[in-house]
Amino acid sequence: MQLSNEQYQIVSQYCNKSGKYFYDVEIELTDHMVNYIEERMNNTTEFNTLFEEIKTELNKEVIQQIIQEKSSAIKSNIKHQLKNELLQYLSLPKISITFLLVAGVIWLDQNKNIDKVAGAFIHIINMLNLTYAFGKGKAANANIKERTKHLLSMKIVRAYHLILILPTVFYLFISLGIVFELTLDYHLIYQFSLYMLPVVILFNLAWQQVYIKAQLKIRNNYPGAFVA
Amino acid sequence: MKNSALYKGCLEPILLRLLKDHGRMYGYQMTQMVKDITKGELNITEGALYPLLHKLEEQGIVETETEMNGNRMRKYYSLTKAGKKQTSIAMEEMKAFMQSLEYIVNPKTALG
Repeated sequence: MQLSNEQYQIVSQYCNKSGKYFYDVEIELTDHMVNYIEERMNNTTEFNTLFEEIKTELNKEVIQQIIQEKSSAIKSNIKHQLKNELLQYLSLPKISITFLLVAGVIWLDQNKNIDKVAGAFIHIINMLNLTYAFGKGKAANANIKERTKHLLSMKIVRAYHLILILPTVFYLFISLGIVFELTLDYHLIYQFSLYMLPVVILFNLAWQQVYIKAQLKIRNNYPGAFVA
Repeated sequence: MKNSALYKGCLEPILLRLLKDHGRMYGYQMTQMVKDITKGELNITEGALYPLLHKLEEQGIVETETEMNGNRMRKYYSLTKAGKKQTSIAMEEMKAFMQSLEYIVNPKTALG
């Protein structure tokens, strides 16, 4: 016997609250509870009795445990994807480009005009962020503006994004330092940053792929959580 | 379930087998199918099912997709390529385990 809209809303609201308002948690739990009730509900067995029954099975502690496992699954999936993206980089042309980039940076470091020329390299990393303004990057970022419901998966992806974008902020600081010509200590940090730059760029590129794919997958899996 | 501890370690191969046989399934469907096949003997609780499914997803053994079912959303689980390989291994392990149990429970028949 199918639930009425009102009964469905009662179940959905319980899952919404217990699932800490995460839509991706809510839809799975709601579907499970609704199936349980609908399969058993008839003229003699009431909705309220069955709802209480399934609520004891899917109580708040169980739901909390499900959320924790889901979080762990998402985090692990992100790490796995990032590792895969980095491994994909291990092709001869890409390794050659990195080698040339590192060689270029070292050559610039040994050149007396390093401060004037090498600064351009630092801006490569800032340029990379422009990827998010076009094509798939733009579509992925649209999730943030167009989201209407909380999503656990999106919360975790965003947290990783904010952490992994920190090197870019650091390099922005470094590049601003060049403009203001700071102290000798600063020069050492600058030199170190410059040597690390190819690695950071590589990591940034890999993360961009993971972030974009993750956001597009979220959009595809949970269209109901975004503006139509 | 009469003795849940006996079934606990078998839950993963059971779910893998179900997914191998039925392609893709949603959570509630899995609990009901297991219940039907075992004639009500094995009742998978939600607290055991979903954390395990999420763990399998984390390990890349299952993948998920959501789909509209009428006007409601439903999440489906299916085996990945790695999951299909893992299922074959798990089934072999289960057979070996059951054989070992047979030696213990029915020593005469097993030797016989």
